[in-house]
Amino acid sequence: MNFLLEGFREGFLLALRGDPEVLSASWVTIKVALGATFFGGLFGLPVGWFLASKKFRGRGAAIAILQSLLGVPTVVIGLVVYGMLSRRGPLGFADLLFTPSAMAIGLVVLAVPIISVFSMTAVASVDERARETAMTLGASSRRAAWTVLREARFGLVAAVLGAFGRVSSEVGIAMMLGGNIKGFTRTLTTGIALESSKGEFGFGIALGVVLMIIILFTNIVSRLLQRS
Amino acid sequence: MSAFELKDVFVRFNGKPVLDIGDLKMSEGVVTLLSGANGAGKTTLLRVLAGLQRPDGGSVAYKGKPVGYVGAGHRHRLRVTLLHQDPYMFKRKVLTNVAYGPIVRGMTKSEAGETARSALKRVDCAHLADRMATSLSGGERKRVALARSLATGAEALLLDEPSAGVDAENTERLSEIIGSLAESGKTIVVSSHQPDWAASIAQESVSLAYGKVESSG
Amino acid sequence: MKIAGLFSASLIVFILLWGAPEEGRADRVRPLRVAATTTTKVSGILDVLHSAFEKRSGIRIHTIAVGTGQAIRIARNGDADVLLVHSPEAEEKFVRDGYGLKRRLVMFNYFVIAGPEVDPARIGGMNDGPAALRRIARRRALFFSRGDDSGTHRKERTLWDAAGLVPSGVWYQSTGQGMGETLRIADEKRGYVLTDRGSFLKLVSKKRIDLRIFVTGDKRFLNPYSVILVNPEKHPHVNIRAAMKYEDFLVSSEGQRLIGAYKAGGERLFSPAFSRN
Repeated sequence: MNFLLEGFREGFLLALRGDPEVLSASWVTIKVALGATFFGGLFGLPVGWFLASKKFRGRGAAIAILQSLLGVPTVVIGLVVYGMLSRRGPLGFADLLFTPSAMAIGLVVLAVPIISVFSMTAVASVDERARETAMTLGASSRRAAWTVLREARFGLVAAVLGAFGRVSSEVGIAMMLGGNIKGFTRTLTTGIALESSKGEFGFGIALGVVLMIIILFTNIVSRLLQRS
Repeated sequence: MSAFELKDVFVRFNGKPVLDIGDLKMSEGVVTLLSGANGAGKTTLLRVLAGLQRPDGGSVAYKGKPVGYVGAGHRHRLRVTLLHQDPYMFKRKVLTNVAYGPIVRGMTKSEAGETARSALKRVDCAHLADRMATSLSGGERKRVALARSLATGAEALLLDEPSAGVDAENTERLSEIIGSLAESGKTIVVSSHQPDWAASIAQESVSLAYGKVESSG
Repeated sequence: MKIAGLFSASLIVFILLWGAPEEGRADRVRPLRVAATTTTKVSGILDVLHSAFEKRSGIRIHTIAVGTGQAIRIARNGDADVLLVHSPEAEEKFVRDGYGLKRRLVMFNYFVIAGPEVDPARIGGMNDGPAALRRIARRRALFFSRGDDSGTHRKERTLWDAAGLVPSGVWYQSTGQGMGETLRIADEKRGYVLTDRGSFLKLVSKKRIDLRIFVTGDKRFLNPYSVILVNPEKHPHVNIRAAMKYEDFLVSSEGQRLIGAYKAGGERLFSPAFSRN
């Protein structure tokens, strides 16, 4: 019990004091997660909107594939992207492996299905009458589609923030594609994994505290947006 | 001159005919009452006239031009608007909801805001302008939705059961508004299953039963 | 569209920050990518050597700490510039296959067999590794193997071979993790484990584990660490100039002095290869 309390005490102190290693891991986590969420949204939101509002052949199959991608373990994503980015892989020339960009690429692969599926649900759950109301008030088809999207905005924001929370707390992809390089690709989660292997319980807790603050902050922003 | 002209229009739902109209004309610049029991096809007919539902057969024309549907119907919908019986409110402020029509017609934000405010005043709802539209009561929602339709400035208004669920005082106000709209030259089609009220404001009437025209004139 | 403006402004700031040099360094020198074994990481020697090298050369090091087997695979794929590992046979094969230039010995220490204080297999005081393993197997005492194709795991397998046994059964458990994790698991579950002295002493000195050393002094326990440059003929993109500087630093008198001076709990964890005493 003492061991645990000691760890928490040390952890909070390190986090509050702004230890440079904690700061660097926090920054890497936030930067990579933001980048991955941005590009995940860039691909995922249109896909979600398209699946929710267009009828086409293979739509059911596309949805089924995306939904099963939600369950793919992150280490599998890590492995596949590793194979792509390694010097021996098709994209090896870009020299991306073990950089923040490599992590962001892997995390985009994780984020896209999340954002697609949840934004699809958000758009699909907008009242059928919203589009018709927009149209009868004089909106063009495109304008009406935009209005429907605006009606789904809380759900869309929740989809994006959910993806942010997921990618910022992910370990497998960050470890395999980033390599856990100190001050460069070490994130809060891979840092925790390393510190626990070195037996540095307190330091691991410090990183965990910061991660929880980030997630908490994301959730608060999400709640505020839903209320306004 | 007639505003709407229908010929051999029929609509099926799940294989069953819900609308089957051989020949029908509605005049321009007057109030036409659309009466009939629940399920007689009033709403379907209004949706067909509004360019929201493409009939399975036949032809529909407005002022001599065929009515377009979906993407092709944009120009028609700028001239003809439908007020749903149970209107949908965008999850925005009341004023934003009412300004929607003016905005999509290219008005500036401030012009649209002015138009919306005067439309709200017309239905005695000016005080609701800054409320969230989703927080309105049923009666308020119906009045705000009427203001939203008025604000579009459309030359023909299709009103689906505007008096349903509205108290006596507001029903009277509704009659006045419809009357003044007709005076200013607008074409109005109003459906109602309260023929007494509707007969008092309408100059022409169409009666539907089981999707067919029972009488018109 | 105020929001759109704000959004694109923050996007631009974000992109600029992405490319900003890490930890405030202004240098644009290409970093050196070192794939090193987890035992050097856990024991802490890597941090000492790397920060000294960075200060001295101005070259930034990116360390990827993984098991020797994986480190060699990463280097084979051309995803690292230089290796610091401890599995002589695998290293020789790596060089023989043309992926690495010459191996150079940097430092060494010894493996030990450690376990819980009660010593259920009674191996305390033995100095014959295979014999001790045979006794552990006979008593079916809990034993934790790295099982990750690391240098330590390969050493363990050669010792079992020497003992004439193929370990299996519930008493023989494979963790599949690094040295630090495996030591902590052995500690929690009260089992025996083969470990290098460096990692063991480091964790004991910080009171992270409570295990005892029972078997030492077997000649087969020698644990040499070597540095190998990735062959630029196989992978022309490697940072060969920085890698050569790194290699030279490790075997230089300063590098060797740092290795000899590194201690935990009052004990030296590694012996420099070119010792002057």
